[in-house]
Amino acid sequence: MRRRILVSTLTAVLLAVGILVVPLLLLVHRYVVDGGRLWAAGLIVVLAVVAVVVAMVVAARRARETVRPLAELAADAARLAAGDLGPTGRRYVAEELDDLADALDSAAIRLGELVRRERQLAADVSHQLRSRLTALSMRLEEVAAVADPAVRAEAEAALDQVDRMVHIVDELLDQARTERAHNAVEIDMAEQLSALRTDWDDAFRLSGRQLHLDAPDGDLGPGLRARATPGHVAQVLGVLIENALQHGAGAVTVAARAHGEHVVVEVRDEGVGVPDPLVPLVFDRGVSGGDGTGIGLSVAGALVEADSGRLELRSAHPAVFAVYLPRISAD
Amino acid sequence: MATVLLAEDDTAIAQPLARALEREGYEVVVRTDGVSALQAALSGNVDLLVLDLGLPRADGLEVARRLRAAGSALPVLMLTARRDEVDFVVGLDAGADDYVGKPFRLAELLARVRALLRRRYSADLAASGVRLELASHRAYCDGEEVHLTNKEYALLRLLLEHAGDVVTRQDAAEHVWGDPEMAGSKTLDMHISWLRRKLGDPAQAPRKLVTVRGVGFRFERG
Repeated sequence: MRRRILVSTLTAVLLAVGILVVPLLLLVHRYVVDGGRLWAAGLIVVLAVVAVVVAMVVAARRARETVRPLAELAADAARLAAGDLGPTGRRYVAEELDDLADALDSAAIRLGELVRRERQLAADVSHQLRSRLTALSMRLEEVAAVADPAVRAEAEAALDQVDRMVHIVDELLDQARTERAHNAVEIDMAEQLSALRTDWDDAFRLSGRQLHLDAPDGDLGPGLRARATPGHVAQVLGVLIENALQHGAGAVTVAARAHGEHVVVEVRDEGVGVPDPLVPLVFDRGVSGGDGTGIGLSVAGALVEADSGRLELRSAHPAVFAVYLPRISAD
Repeated sequence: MATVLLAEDDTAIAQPLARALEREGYEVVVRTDGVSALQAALSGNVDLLVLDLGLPRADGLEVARRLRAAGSALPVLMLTARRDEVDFVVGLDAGADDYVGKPFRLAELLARVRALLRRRYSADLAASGVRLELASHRAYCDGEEVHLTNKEYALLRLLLEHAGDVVTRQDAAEHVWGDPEMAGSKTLDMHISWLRRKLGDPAQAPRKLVTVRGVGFRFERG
């Protein structure tokens, strides 16, 4: 893109200069007396070269300025494709670019909302089916406990059917989960955490607060690795950090560690924590975040679940959020 | 007789479950929301809490966390329709002692209730200098904490629960992986050898975790 702008500018400038210089040189040849001819021709050529150089410098600068927002938008689109569903809120002077940025932001918000709804539906279906099957199976077991052997046999047969239905539900949910997590790849947690430093340094400096990162490497060999969709982890940690900046106080600590077959990342601050009446509601839609700059805790939770993980409020006072992700173990 | 607190908001489940517990001879107290369940659990009049995860007002995880934050060591058996492995981990981290996924067979649930009540009155599991602190999910070898993965912990717990007796490969496969097929796999042997390494038991001549050829493994009482 940048190169194309440069080439077209160069072509235009060379044409313009050529159109001016060739007739000028002919005029010089025709009308200037012998003594000044070489001198005048030289001056014209030097001026032409200066004009081309100046035009190229200006063109290069303009090309950079024109391309920068496009490159940013392309990067935003790539992040969106990789599963980072946070609207950027980025705006430019050019109307067309703002339209594009708007479209990307609303696509991100809608995708996040879709993921959240899909997770909610899967959780509801699973919960409802399993609860009803539990109630059914317990009543059948009561029937099976009566003395009459014929009744008992029938109840046992019905219980077998319940077991098969449970198996089917499990399989369907498993299948859905595998499809959801198809973008998941191996993620190096130390890298993720150090990227937070770059992303959040300015915000912390502005608010006069501190960000502590704690990723153990020593005893974990090649490093702590999780399986997750690229973009999701940074996104979710971003929501938690922003939440701590907005509602918490003091230093914010992000710590990752191995926990059996999972990786747990905790985000905590030194404030008073989540008010008690709000505790059961923090992951409900519309309760936190989602004000246009972030995706909110409800979508963050859905993103983690889409990668077969969980987002939990581990402690309310002070607020400690824990992200559980499947761990890729070194053994 | 022991009193069981049943925290379950779904009456279609709470009723037959309460009946089953009563048939076993327990006294049963039913609560249908998280806040009143927590109050009853902290009253000191119950011996075990059977805690559903999806309670109104405060969910089961929150009840378990607040119970532990209040310093209670009441055994908690968590019931949940969420049966992914990560849910088990989250539940245990919140302070549950054991976990049953819905739907369950009554026999299984009652066995776990019995085991938890037995454990309430017995010390932590220990043999041959190895000790499992069940409430905190920690393992110690000669007083030093040993870090175990979930599967290693489950395997060691099973072996310690039957210290002095043979645990068959089938039993280990079923209890730890929930899959009898694992009995013949190398995974079980690898976990046994990792356990030996972590517990400082020489693989060539183990003195704690002994292989019983053709049958399974035995953890010596020591």
